[in-house]
Amino acid sequence: MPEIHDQVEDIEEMLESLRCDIHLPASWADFFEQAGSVPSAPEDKRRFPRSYLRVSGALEYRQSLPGLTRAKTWYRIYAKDVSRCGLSFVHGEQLFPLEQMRIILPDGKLRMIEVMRCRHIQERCFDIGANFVQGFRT
Amino acid sequence: MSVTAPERSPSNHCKGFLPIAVDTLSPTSVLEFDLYIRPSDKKPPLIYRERSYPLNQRDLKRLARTGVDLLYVTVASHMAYETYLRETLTRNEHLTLAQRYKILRTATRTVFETAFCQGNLNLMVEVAGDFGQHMTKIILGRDMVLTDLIALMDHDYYTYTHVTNVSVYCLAMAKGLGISRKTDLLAIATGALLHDFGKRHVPPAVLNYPGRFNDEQRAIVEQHPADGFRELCLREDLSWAQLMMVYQHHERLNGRGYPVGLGGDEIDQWAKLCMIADVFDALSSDRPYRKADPIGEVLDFLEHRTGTDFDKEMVLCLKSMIK
Repeated sequence: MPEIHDQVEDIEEMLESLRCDIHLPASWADFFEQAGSVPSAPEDKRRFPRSYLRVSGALEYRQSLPGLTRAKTWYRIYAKDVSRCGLSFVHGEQLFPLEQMRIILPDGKLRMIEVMRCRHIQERCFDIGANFVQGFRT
Repeated sequence: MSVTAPERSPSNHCKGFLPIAVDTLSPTSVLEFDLYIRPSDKKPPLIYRERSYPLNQRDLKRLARTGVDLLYVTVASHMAYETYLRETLTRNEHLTLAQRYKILRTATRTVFETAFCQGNLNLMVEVAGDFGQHMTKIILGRDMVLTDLIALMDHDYYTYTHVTNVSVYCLAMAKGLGISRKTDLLAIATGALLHDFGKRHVPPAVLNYPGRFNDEQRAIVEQHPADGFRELCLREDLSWAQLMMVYQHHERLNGRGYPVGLGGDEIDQWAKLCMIADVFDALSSDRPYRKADPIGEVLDFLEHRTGTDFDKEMVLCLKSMIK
């Protein structure tokens, strides 16, 4: 995988080449069909509205926590929803709070994210919430 | 002790100073640190004894007579105090298990509470490491019987007593499971002492709530493993296994725990130790709304849940160590 700086020209070709270990639950059969605004719950404390974004994307691991070794690797992920400040996505492995990574969505633009939460759905299926960040910690 | 008493308030806390228990001092020719005394809660500490001025038995008796159980050292001289304490514990080989544990518990309690309330992370990790070192020596001592140690512990479930109890149980189980490297035991003790660090962010009104949590309160409390992990994970002096004790101690083998919902082998081994010790202490301590359960019943509770919630070998190890 060549170094990517801020924009990917052919995102489809890139995604096709990436490893994807995600096992979606059977109950999520319509995962890629959902569109529009995500309904908010009464106890929802989110600041901004979210929209469904049910597409494939790419996630690049990088070393960001001293105690956890991460090799620089790209994975295919499934985006779930997006808002002004962040997104949630499905990945085949656990990620940890404060991990910082790069993500590419279908617009081809490279974005930096910081993991906020991770929830195990089933084997090889984790629901990850992350915020967009302007830059990585040094 | 009242089971409705609030979390201990930091009325003995004073910026730039750390409280030390008078019980941890013994008559000595010279101390390597100045001692301060606080005339009242509203006033800053005043010099009581300069480092070159000996402390004698008469001084200690006078302090006891006047009800002074806390003196102060400057934050800068905390390490000198720790060295003094370490020398006291190691020099006097005739101290019984009970005396060693009492000195250690008394010495670290006030400093730990201060550091916890101030959110002084560096000091907390330092104190946790010191406690872990001393506790590891006690646990590895020939005269250590867990049942005797339990009899010495407080069981009032305040944060400090809880985390120190969990640290002791984790160490005992680790030793019983054959973990013998001192560096591992020290790391386990330190990680256990820090496992509830995230509770700093739980409002006292929720933490001390005298009843069952409602959904909103439960959601707040269930944030604490992730909150503790977030605060500690960028440190280079804590290992990943120690961080997993903080992050995973509320996971369960059947995947029904939190914050992630991991199961089985996805949970770190040290976190599995910590979750058992955590539940054991919670059930065998007085809570704001319920009295402690007898230890036998607590062990039965854990044993009935081996395989679903808890690691069987670890629970049986704990059970075998409590005679």
